[in-house]
Amino acid sequence: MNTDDLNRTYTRRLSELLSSADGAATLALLQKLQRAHAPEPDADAGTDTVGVWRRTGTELVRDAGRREEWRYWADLERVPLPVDRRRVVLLGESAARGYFFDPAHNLATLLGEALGRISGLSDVQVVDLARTNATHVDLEATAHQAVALAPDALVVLAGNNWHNLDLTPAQMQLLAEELRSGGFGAARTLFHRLVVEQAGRTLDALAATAHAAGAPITLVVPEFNLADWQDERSLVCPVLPGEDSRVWLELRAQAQLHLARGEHEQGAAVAERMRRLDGGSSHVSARLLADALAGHRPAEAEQALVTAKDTVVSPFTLHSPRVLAAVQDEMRRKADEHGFLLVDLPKLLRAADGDRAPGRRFFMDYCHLTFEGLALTAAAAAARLADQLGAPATTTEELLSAQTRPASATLAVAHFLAAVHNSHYGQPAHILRHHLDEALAQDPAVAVHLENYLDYQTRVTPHWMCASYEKSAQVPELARYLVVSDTRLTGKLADHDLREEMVRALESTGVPTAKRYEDLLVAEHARAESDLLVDVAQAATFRERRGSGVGTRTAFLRAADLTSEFHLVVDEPTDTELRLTWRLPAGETDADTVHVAVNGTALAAQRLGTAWQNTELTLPAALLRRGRNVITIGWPLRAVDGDRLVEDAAAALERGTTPSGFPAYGHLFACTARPLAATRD
Amino acid sequence: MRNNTEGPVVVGVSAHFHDSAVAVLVGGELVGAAHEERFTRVKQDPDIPREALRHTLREAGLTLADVDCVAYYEDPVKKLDRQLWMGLPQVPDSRPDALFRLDADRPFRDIREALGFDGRVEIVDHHLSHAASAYYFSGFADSAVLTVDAVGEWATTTWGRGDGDHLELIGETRFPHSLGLLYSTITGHLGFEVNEGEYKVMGLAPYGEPRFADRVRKLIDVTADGTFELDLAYFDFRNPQGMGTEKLTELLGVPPRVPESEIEQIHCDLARSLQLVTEETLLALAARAKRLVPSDNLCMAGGVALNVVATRRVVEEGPFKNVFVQPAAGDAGGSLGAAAVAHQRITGRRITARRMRSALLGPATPADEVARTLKGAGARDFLDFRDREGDLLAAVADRLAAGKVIGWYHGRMEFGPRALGSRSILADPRGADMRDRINASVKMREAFRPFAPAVLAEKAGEHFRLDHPSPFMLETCEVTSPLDLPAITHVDRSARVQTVTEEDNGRFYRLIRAFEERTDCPIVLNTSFNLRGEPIVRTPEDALLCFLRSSIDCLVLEDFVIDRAALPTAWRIWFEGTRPPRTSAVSDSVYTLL
Ligand SMILES: [Fe+2]
Repeated sequence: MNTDDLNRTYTRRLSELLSSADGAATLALLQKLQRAHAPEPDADAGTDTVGVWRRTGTELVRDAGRREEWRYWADLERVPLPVDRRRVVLLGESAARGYFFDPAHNLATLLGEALGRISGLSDVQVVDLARTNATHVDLEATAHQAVALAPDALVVLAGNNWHNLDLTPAQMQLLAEELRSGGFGAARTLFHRLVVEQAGRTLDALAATAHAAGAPITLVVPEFNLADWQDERSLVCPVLPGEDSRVWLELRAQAQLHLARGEHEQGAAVAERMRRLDGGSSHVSARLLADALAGHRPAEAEQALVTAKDTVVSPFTLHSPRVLAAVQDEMRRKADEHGFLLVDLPKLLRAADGDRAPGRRFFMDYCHLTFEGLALTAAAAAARLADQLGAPATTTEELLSAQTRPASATLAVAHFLAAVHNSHYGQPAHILRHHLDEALAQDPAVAVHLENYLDYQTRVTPHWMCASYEKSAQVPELARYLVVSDTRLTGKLADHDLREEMVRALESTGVPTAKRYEDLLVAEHARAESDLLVDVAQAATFRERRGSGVGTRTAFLRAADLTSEFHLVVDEPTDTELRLTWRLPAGETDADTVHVAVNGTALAAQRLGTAWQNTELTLPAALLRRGRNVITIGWPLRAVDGDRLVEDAAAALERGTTPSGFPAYGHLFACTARPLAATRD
Repeated sequence: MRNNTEGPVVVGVSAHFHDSAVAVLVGGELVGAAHEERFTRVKQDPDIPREALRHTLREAGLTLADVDCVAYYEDPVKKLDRQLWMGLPQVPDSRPDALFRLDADRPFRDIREALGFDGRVEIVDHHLSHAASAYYFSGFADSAVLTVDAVGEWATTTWGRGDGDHLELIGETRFPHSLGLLYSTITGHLGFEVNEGEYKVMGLAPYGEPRFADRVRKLIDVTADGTFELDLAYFDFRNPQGMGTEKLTELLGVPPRVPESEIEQIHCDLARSLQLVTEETLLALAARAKRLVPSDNLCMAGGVALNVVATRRVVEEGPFKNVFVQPAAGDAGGSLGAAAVAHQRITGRRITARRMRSALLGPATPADEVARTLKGAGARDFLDFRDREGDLLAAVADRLAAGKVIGWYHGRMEFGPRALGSRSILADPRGADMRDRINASVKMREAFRPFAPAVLAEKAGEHFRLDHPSPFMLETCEVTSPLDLPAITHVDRSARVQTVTEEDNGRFYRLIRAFEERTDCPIVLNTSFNLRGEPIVRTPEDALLCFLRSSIDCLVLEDFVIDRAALPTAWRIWFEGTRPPRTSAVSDSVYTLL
């Protein structure tokens, strides 16, 4: 036998021995052992590239080849670069873009206006290089490109996306180890440390770039909407070891009951027990604690809100952007170390509002500022810059007092868009109402955009094809936010709560809408057969769309909480057949009872096992109504197989994929409704 | 949901390489098949086909609870063996693109976790899947079988015998000796995308002279008994920069062409030489098949069987009376074969012994859904021909006759690489400038290749040297038409023909007939409905966006006709000149051997 034949024997035997899951893990570990940990060299973009523009002699010209990226950047075809003016370059992310106000207003325009009010600074140009969705990688690259503009100063508002780390295989291995030894709570803690370390490196890199350019940095520490943001209901609790998940869910029900009854002390005690159980891995327990403490222990309540906000940040789920408290601290520390000027929004916002935890006065959503918040930030940054640029000292208050109010129509559109955005992140009805009321109060003429939204969001026609969308897209801020080419932001969702709030708001201001809306809803969605697993029937938020999020994408729907809701639109009610293909995930029992309700009325209790099962139920006409109906599936409260799921997640990390940390409470492969009258013909 | 019990429901899955797909058999009948890329819009998406599965089952009225077996199209253990061997002397191969790819558990894990299927899983060898996709769908009572591709697990070429219910592989050539890899290596050398640009090389060949054929023959030694070996000194299949060695360039005497650069005569000559040697080799392999299995029939599949010029020579010059080539001869079609083998293993019987006649196996969009979608656009000058098919066809045929380029969207989506009249771009094949117009406005591709004709089957003989049906655009033949057909006629007067019948093609057939009534030309130019780098359109919205981004003159969405002039200005502002997001998961410089 020659060597080659022997080699073939060896590899064949190895392949047989290493074909299992453990074998694949073994091979992956051996690969990692052999790999050098040299960082990949950063490919530098062409030297004349600045953001989506190309630098010619005296201006930036937008690059047609990067048209798909234009929407992330300032909406400017050309940016002049006059040689006789000083330049402040703004770097950052959507918070700096002035999300919902851009392009009418953004942090760069406000900063420019504020600087213009300072004597001796009227020549200063603000160049807007803020980019929506920018990560720390984008930020460092843009800062690098900005050097070519010979800036006199840099202003940076970033940090809300810094949890979007591209984890290396080595980091994933470390996370797997933490997961195995301490569960999702421990892995989350390690992840936060990685985020903070990266933040430090990014700030060091910015400092080096700024130093090389001879431009000082004014760093804005971002803040979060602590008082008014609630993370969405599909974020419950990561997998807990053993049977703790069932106990935790039972405690959640108890805590909610206590709070509903006004029993705050008991509520707080139960929330503390949940917290111990989940090891700080669920924001729900922190949030319940905050709610329980809100009335009588405000400082502790605020701390619990900070904890709730931070707790959500993990690689194991999708969530709205935000800045970790530890990253805010790192920014302060690095500002000290590198001599950055600091605009500390957490302090600034509290100081401006009687030391209260920041809420809707300053935030349109999780992290995007209201006009007041933007103006305050701009004024504070301008006040810091004044000294740097050799102008007489001024104060934030002084600059702010001269700030003009934006047009009512602009404010109205911004709040309308905020209502849409908040809804798609699962915010409660009263927040949606706040933004819609605010919009209509600012400018009743915004009603037409609500009506248009009701039209294009209800139709099956893609937004961009709808005549109603085209009309609203005349407004630049609206066209910026609901941008035609973004299928995420313009994808259809089951945001019935939002739309019904819009109908209510319009009706209350004397715009007859309800009937027209219902007719359209029926015309578009009442079918001989309705697939209730499509996004328009079951996903109220971006996160709830099937296939979105972290972890294995599945051909079936994973229920993220103990109840799943499906929206069925019917015309005249008739007995309707509901066909389900469903199963329970592996767990402590092999079979249990699932409850189905229609519009709040119990319909069926069905025994279900862990194998797929086809089930047919009849929804009686008497329980249905014309328009939207809600079908609720209540999944049984039973422990998932926590130890196995934690091990599976660790194994996935070792394979270089990020697992979802959240268990499924039920699986649905199909859910269709057919009005029986329609079946007969 | 299904209540009948006339046989097992088997889902065939091809995945984890490139262009993943599912096929669904119910009681031995093929009820649907689809490529995952059409749903995710990721070109050649290699992920487990979860969306294709959902839609295909739904279209068939089935759910996952009805599925008895999932058949996977290759043996992950054998593939791992080959991967480990390829990595030698390193064990395991630890280069960046190999990281996490040595995972024989992945098919099982993905079927269980991503598809959610806990039942019986059948593993079918890669080339057995190819062979079955040809034999079991050929309708032959018995047949010799030949499969040729780049690589599966180890085999790159197999010979098989189909006999009634049974199919077995009786011989093979193993990696690294591979006709497909030889072709791909030189495809890369000629500056085209590997795994995608092979038929460009085939299209380039007629422009050249085979003056390098002797040099190409040095790369491959075809023995008298019809097997072959590559001279491995010329190849390095692990090199991410390209699969040929410097020695290859030396031997050929043709420097590697820079992608997108000018195509010169020397490139045409090399393409012609490669094509010639490929044809000779394929003929030798087919002759061996005849010696091993003296049947009148031959079934072929595997990526090399998509080389229609070479298969045509097997049909014409080879020793078989009848030849069937699986239209989805590439790896996506492995899903069909894997499912058919699993069916045979479960029941002991082959699937329904009938020739596969249609590749229209994907989901359709009901005409009333199209109407609903267009209604949201408000009052526009879109033409509505619901319940008036005659008027619709007249309107479209008039436009074709007037030289318009039509985006044609009708019925169930095609399975396999070709658009066959469901998601097609159509035009008059007679115009002198038509080829350039479509190339410039839609395909953004090299102008040297002609487009394919779709011809009324009963008229095919009047225009092409073709005496039998070619429903899948798989055969190339001589253009003998009295008409001048520059857009579909290659420089060597050949064309890759699709024959169209009323029975199998319905409205598409009637459209061509309407065109013929106006022009006496029973032929239309038919090319796939997509922009370069994008999967073929699936939904009406995909079709509209492709329409907006290209310069197609008119879009037909089921019963509706949309002329470019009727497009709202805003749509044109938003989309004209834009490109679909370029998402591709697969390298185009080397064959992904992992
Ligand atoms: Fe293959």
